[in-house]
Amino acid sequence: MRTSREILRAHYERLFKRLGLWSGLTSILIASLVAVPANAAQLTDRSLTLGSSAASANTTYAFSFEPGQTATVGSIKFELCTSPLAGTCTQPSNATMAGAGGLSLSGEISGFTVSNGTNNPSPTATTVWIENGTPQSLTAATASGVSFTGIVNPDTANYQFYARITTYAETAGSTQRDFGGIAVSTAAVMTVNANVQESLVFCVGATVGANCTGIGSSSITLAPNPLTTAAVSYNTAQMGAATNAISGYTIAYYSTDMCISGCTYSITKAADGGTVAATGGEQFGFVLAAQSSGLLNGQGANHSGGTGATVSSPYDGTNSTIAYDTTGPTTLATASGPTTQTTYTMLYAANVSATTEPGAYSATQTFVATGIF
Amino acid sequence: MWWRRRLIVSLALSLALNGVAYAVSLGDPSSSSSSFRLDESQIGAMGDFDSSSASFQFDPSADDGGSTLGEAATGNSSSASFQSGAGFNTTNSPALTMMVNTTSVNLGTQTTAAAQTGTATFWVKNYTSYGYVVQVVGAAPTYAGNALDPITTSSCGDAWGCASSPGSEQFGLNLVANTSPVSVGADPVQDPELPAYSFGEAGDGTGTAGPGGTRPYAVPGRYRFVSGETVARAPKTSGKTTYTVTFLTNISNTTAAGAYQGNLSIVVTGTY
Repeated sequence: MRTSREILRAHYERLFKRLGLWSGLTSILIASLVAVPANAAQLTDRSLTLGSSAASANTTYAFSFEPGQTATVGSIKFELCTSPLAGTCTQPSNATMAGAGGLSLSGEISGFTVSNGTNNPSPTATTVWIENGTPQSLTAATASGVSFTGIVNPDTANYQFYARITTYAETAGSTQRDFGGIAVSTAAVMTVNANVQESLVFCVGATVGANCTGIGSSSITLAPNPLTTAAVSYNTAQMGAATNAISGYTIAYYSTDMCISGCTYSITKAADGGTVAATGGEQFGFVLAAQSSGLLNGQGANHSGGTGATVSSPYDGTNSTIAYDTTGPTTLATASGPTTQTTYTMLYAANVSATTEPGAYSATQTFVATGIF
Repeated sequence: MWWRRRLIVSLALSLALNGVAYAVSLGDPSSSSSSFRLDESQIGAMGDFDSSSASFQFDPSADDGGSTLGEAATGNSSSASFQSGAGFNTTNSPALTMMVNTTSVNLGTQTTAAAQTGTATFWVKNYTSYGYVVQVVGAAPTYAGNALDPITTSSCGDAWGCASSPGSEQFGLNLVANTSPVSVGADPVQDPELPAYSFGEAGDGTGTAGPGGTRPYAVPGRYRFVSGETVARAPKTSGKTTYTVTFLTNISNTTAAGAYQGNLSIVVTGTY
């Protein structure tokens, strides 16, 4: 028969054994019941292309990746962090995904939308979720692309930060599928400067050549000379204009009357608004177009060369209407922008009456080109 | 006493089981199976980098008379399709470092008689990757909405760039050493300390680079600019490569007068 001491000893031995056994078993169970990370694979061929690397730029982020395993994916989390490793995500230097939108999908992935807080959080500074109400099977090593607009870069240039991509099985992300980190960097912006100087080339003469070379005489004589009441007398002169002014140029003129003796007597000028050339009466004026009818039919020439040139009315008539204005400056022609040389031909014409005073008549014109830079 | 021995044995057993359970739950996140993957696991001699305590400091060294255990292997090795980095100062994290050294390029006063050129430099270092590409994003220098005509394939019929043409409006760039229109620019320069492990190159990898080549941005004397195109790349993890961008401008008689400015962003994308 055992003593009470022996009985107590056996009792406590059993207790200690049970204590050790249950402690160990409990430890194993606890370890088994603790949430163990799923055997997640790594996303491969993953990259992030920024629309701009400028600090603080609001730009597009284009993610590309290939799943590490073939599995159904119901949601994907995109993060911007100071570390590529899974775990706490710290916002990198004021970068923010809070304004993420403009979701665009490419490759295998389809049917996902930006989460709005129902199944997954709405976009925050560090995180954007996309989700698919019907989880999609994504194939291992098959490319998918996801891009967002409205992402703001960190506010520091030449700054390295990280993006993380985590895929989940469910629409409401819970069971992790794959994961991958990406290194990204902002960069200082390069500014390239270049100056283009203003240029305006203008010339007037009996004739003008290309690039205002070969400029003819600055004086012309109407023919037939002397003037008669039987026929119109006429002749031409030219001017050339070229510029790199962004808004082109205007050409205007100042004129004196066609007169003699200190302009005591003058040949009546054509109207400011134009007068049809006709013999038998006093007329003097000019036009800047090829004439196709009337007294000056076949004379003159249209402007040529350059771009964007326009002759102002009434100097653009083609029916032998001449005009003359002594109250200048009077606009003759314009160009709308930068242009190589435009050559204008001025056709001068004069008629006299039987009572026109005799003498050597002359008129002086001054042309002014103004570039609009 | 006997019960103390029993208590100690039971507690020891409990702790051992806990340790096993903990190890089971942690697993080894950086080793894998199926196709086998070894990611930053340490095999071989133990070592540590500048570890220390109040009483000692542990500096791996080959000539320390055995006071350290040293590193199993250090440095970088590579082939055409494989590269590994060994040593305690490597990282299993993707890394991308870049620096734009020149933030302002002044091409001066333009003339129709001759081209104007200028240069800017930047460098890229990219680790634990399958390479990177460099893109230049932005607009050609612009004034009042008028941009200098960028050089494209349609400018001269060549996709690898066009030669300088004074009197014709042009804006373009390349990343190589040029002798035309003047001696300007430089080829990519690899890290002088580890040139064998830096692989950055000009161009997008297509065609051939160099004189008479066909690779955009990589042919001397040929210039091109299309925003967003790849102007440089590395095919694998690469140490520091310094690139020199050469800018070229020409103007025509009708290039609008004004102060032109263009902001260009260097975007580097690594694939991991």
